[in-house]
Amino acid sequence: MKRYDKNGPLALVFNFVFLLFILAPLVVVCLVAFTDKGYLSLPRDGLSVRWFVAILDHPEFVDAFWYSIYLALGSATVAVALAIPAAMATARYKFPGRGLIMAFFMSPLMIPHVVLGVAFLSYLSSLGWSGTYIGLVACHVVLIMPYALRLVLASVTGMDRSAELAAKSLGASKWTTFRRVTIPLILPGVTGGWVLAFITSFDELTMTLFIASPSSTTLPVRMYQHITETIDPLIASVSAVIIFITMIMMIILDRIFGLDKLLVGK
Amino acid sequence: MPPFFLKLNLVNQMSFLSLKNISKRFGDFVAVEDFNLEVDKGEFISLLGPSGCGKTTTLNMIAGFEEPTTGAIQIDGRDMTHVSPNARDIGIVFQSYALFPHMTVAENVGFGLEMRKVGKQERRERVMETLELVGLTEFAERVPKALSGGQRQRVALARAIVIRPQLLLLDEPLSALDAKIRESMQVELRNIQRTVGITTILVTHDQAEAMAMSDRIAVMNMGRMARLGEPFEIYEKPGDSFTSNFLGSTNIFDGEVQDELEGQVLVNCSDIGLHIPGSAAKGARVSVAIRPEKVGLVQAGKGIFNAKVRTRIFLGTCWAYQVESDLGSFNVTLQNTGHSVAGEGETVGVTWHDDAVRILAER
Repeated sequence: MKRYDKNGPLALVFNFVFLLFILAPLVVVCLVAFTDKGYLSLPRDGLSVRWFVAILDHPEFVDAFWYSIYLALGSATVAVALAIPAAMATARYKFPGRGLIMAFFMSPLMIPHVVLGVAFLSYLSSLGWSGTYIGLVACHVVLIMPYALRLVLASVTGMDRSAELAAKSLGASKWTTFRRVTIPLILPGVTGGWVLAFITSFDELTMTLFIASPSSTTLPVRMYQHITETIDPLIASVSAVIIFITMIMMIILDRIFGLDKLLVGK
Repeated sequence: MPPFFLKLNLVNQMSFLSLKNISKRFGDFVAVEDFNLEVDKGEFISLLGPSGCGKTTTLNMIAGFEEPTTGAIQIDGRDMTHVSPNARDIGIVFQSYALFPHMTVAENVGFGLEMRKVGKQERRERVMETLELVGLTEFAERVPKALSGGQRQRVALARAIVIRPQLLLLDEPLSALDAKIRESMQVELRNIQRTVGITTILVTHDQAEAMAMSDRIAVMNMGRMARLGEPFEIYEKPGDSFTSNFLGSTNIFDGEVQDELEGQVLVNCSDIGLHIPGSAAKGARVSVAIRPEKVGLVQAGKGIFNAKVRTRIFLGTCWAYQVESDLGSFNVTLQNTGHSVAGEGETVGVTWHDDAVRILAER
C-alpha cells in the first residue's frame, strides 16, 4: 500500500527552516554559555565552564531559582485545584452566568501583564501582602489560570460520563466516584494543565517585576536585574541550565504520559 | 376475562418492578408521559422504540439518574422514586460499556463488591466466578483497552451482575457490536440472564433484538407506551400502525367497513372486498394491514386480485417482491423453495388467508 503520510521535499525544507528558526536562539544561548571571555560572545577560542562555576558564586541566583520553583509549584497546584471544579461546573451544567465565568477565568490571557502588574501592586499593598509568598502565589494563580483551565476543561469535556454513572450504580458515593473514576480519567488533562501552568509561572517576568520584593525575587526578575547592571555570560549560563532542566522534565513527561497527549489534554 | 378486581390483585402480588404513571419533562419537552409498567421477578422486558421515544429516559429514571417529574417507581414493594442511584442495588450495562479504563478487568468487575465492602478473598472468588460465567477468566489481568468490543461488553455485563443486583438494566448493550457478534451475544446474554434468574430491562431500537431476547416487549412512541405484550402476540396483533410498522415491514391500505358479520367485517379497499376478522362499525374508515411474508403469489386470476410484478430481488433465503395492484404498491416476501417464481413484468394473482389481515386502530 502506498503511504500518503510522507512529507514532500518542499515540506521537509520548510519544516527544517521552521525548526531552525525556533531553535537557533536556544542553541546560541547554550553556546555563549561556554565562552571563556568576560563578555557575551561565541566560544571561538576555546570552551570554558567558568560561567557555570560562576553561578555558584552568586547565591542570589540560586536562591531566586529555588524561590521560582516554590512559587511555580504553589501557583500551579492552586490553579489546577481551582480549575477542576470550575471546568466540571462549566462543562456539565448550564446555568446563568456560565459564559461570563469562563470569560472571567480566561481574561488574564487578554490583559497586558504590565497592567496586571500595576493593578496587583496596589492591590497587594492594600492587603498588606506585598512581597509575600502568598501574595505572589495569588497573582500567579490568576495569571496561569487560563492555561490550567483550558487543558482540564478539554479532558472533562471529552470524558465519557457513563463511567461515572456506572460507578454510582455500583454503589459508589459522589466523592468516591470523583476520586476513583473522574480524577483518573481526567488525569492527563490535569497533569498537562499543571505542567503548562508551572512553566508559565516559572517564566513570568513582566508582572512579577512589579510585585516582587528583595526577599521574594524570582529567577527571571533576578536575571533581568542582573542584566540591567552588567552584561556578562552569566545570564547565558543560567539560561543554559534552565534549558537543560526543562529538557529533562519534558523527556520524563513524554515517557510517562506522551507530550502530544498531555498538551492537548486528552 | 377475569373481573377487574381479580386482575388488579394478581398484578399487585406478582409485580417486582412497578412504574406508576411516571412522566418526565425537560422544560417544555415531554420525554415520557404517563408511563405504566409492571415487571415480574425474573422477567426479561424490552423497551423498544425509535430514538427520542423516551425509552432511555425511562431507563434512567429506573436507575435513578433522572427523577420522574410525576409518578412513582417501586422495586420489590419499596418506593425508590427519590432514592439515589448508589443505593438502588441495580446493575447497568451501558451502550458505551463505560468500563473504567485505568483498572484491570478484575478490578472493574470487583468495583461494585469493593463498594459493598466485600473482603478481598471473597471478592476475588466472586469476580473469577462471574468472569467464568461470561467466559473471560484468562483476561482478568488485562486492561479494557486490550479487549475486543464483544469482550468489553462481557466485562460490563460481569461488572453489573457480580453484585447480584435485584434489577439489571441494559441500555442498547449490543448496538456497538458487529452483526455476527451481536447475534451470538444475544443468545449468550439471554442464557446468562436465565441462569442468574435476574429481572432485566433492555432498552433497544432493534426490533429483532427485542423479539429474540424478551419475555415481553413494551413498544414506546413519543413518550408513551404504544403496545405491551409477548413478542409473538404483538407482532401478530400490533394494534396500531406504528407498532405494526416498527416491529416489521407491513403493507397498510385504507378501506371502508361495508358490513359486519359474526366476528368478521367486510372491508372495501379500492373496490376490492376483503373479509377480515375483528369488529368495526359499519361505514367506518379503517387501516388494513398485512405482513409481506403472509402474502402468496399464484397464477393470474386465481388469487383474491391480480397484480403486476414491478421488482423482484433475490435474498438467498427468500425473494422480495414489489407488486403493483389496485390496492396500491405492496411488498411480498416469498420463501425460496428452489423453484423458479414469477419474474418482473408478469401479472400474478395475490392471495392470503383471511385471518392474516389485521384492522389497525386509527391513531
